[in-house]
Amino acid sequence: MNEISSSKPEGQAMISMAGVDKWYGAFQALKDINISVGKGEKIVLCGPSGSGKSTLIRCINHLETYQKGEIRVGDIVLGHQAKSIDAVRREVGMVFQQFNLFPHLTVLENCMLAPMRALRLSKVEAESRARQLLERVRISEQADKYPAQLSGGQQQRVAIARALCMRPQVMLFDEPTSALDPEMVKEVLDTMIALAEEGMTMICVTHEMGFARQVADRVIFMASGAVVEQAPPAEFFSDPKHERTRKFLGEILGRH
Amino acid sequence: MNYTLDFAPVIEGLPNLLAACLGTFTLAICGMILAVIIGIGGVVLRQSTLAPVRWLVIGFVELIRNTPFLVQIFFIYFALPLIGVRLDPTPTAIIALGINGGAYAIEIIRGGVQSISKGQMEAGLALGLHKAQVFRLIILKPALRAIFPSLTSQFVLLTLTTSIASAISAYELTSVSQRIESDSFRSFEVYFTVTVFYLVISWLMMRLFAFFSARYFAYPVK
Amino acid sequence: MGRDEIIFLLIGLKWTIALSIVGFVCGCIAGLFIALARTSGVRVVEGLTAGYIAVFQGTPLLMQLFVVYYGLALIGIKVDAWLAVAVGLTLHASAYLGEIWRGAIEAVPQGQTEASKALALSYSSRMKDIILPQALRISLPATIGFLVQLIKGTSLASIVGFTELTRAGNIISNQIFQPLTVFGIVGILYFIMCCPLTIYGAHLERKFAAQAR
Ligand SMILES: Nc1ncnc2c1ncn2[C@@H]1O[C@H](COP(=O)(O)OP(=O)(O)O)[C@@H](O)[C@H]1O
Ligand SMILES: [Mg+2]
Repeated sequence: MNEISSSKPEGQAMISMAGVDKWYGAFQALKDINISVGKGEKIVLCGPSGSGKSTLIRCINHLETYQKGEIRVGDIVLGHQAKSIDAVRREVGMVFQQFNLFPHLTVLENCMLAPMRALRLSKVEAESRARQLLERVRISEQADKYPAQLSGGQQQRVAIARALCMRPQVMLFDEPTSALDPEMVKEVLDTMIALAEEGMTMICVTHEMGFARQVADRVIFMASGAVVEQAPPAEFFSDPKHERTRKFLGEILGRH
Repeated sequence: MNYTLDFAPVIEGLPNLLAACLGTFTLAICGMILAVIIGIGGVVLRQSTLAPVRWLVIGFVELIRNTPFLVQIFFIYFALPLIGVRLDPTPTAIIALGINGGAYAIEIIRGGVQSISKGQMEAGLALGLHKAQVFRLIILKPALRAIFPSLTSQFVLLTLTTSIASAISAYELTSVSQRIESDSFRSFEVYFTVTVFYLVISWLMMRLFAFFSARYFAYPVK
Repeated sequence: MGRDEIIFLLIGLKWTIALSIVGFVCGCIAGLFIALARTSGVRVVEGLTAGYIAVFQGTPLLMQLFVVYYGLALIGIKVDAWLAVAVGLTLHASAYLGEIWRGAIEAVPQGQTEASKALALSYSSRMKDIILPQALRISLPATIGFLVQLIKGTSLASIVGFTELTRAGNIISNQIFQPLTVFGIVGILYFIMCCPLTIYGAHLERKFAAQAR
């Protein structure tokens, strides 16, 4: 049943994008994207600002529509009809740059809301699941606080726990550490590393190259809406094939 | 200079005045409810994809905001019978208050919805919630909180505006006080007392809103 | 509606404009003192002005006009409706403008006051040269918004018995029995006065918001 994905070296594809094009009006934001991500694989997606990284991962859970091509998550084909979108969103967790915690709900309630409303879990189940995951991101003592009472790093860890409460098969991260003060970056990256070590399938848009080296199975470089180059991190950093990649790496690593 | 204040007619009329306060409350509360309904409906229409519908809402808002309530209530008072609606002054006043307050409510509510960042909607959708759920569970409360101060002062203003409904003899505090005044000729005493009543009424309204606010919007924000 | 009726309305319009200007100008002058008193730092003065503002913002303008009208008569000043309404509108405007400008004065960054003090400026110079110019700019949209409210408020003078635009409309409507036409025209005349101000206020607000970014 999975001719396309079974031909991939990773085995069964968790996510596959085939020939995806996206336009904002007349502007083409994604150009013929073909990506396959295996189960348990960790991808780091990088590229200059405006290259389409956010747009790409937001297509995967249909926060953005796309005009051409096909996206699959597990064995669900992501069409434009509500049913497949719902199904995909239950399997895919997302963490945003700006955290996007709900300000009027406590940390615990933030984590319980979607399991109760979208998965129809009972309150007791949702709460025990939420507490368990807050424990896992080491923030359980803050469960009854409101988002505004937490530091940025703590908020982002809550956001990760909130997404994990849906027991997703895949986690998407859109620059999860870019809005953080430098001293808080590590606590969030450590949480993501721990998640990776547990075998979660992950796509991370990030410019934390240390994280990429340590965790990624593959680094994908985008520019102007297209995938320019993809390679395992060792190869990607030591031997970039394309001029644009070299230029990008020069800028981003030169900064440190 | 040798005028002596005489509050006797006021004291005599106190039961009537207190009853009239309830009339003022009724006008204010009913007017507010109608205003909120018009406000929400107007905001929905204001987002319409049909340009003429949007213009109609904008035109309505500007027309109401740039003309006096007194002229509006006269117009409605004379216009309703012409379209076959025969109503007593009090329901007519409620309609006028609702229309007037509704125009302001449209602008206020629109601001509240716009104040919620797009990220909140997206986070809700990404968690697998439906659009209606996102609106009800995630957007609504912070949006209401954001507009609550302006909504409060607008509704206190609406409460004070009810006094203008006396121009069409609706049952409320000002018209009752005018009756007592013309019977007793103790104009200053009557109007001074009624002014104090209004001060208490608007204070009560503010407490009422503050109570709701403290109860439902107690979560901290940065 | 004939020519005479139109002229009668326009005379009423003239009085509406006169009332608005008098109320606004006098209200601005009195309001400035209210705002300064409200931010004076002297407890008693601040408390008194806060009370003054709360009273005028917590009672209907119509009642304020009644109380002033009969109150002036009470203390032996023989007044016609015109003067009573002008005084009433002035007091009303002074409270609202005082509150608007208090907010604006407090919105000027604290550093401006500190810098002026460090430069040894006197209170009057600090206010006149540094704080008020910035505060007035900040408050301009709200001030214009209140002017619109005041113009509409002058219509209540008709209930006290002063023949401005709305009362002129009332009189004519009783004569010719065409209330919708008359009040429609009256409404349009108010709209023509208020709408440009509203648009200008909104324009300033957008402009300031864009500059603040
Ligand atoms: N809603 C939108 N409307 C129009 N253009 C957009 C919109 N969102 C993003 N774009 C454009 O699409 C391109 C890719 O954006 P994005 O995916 O956010 O880039 P990245 O995340 O790599 O910085 C940019 O040129 C951006 O200007
Ligand atoms: Mg981005």
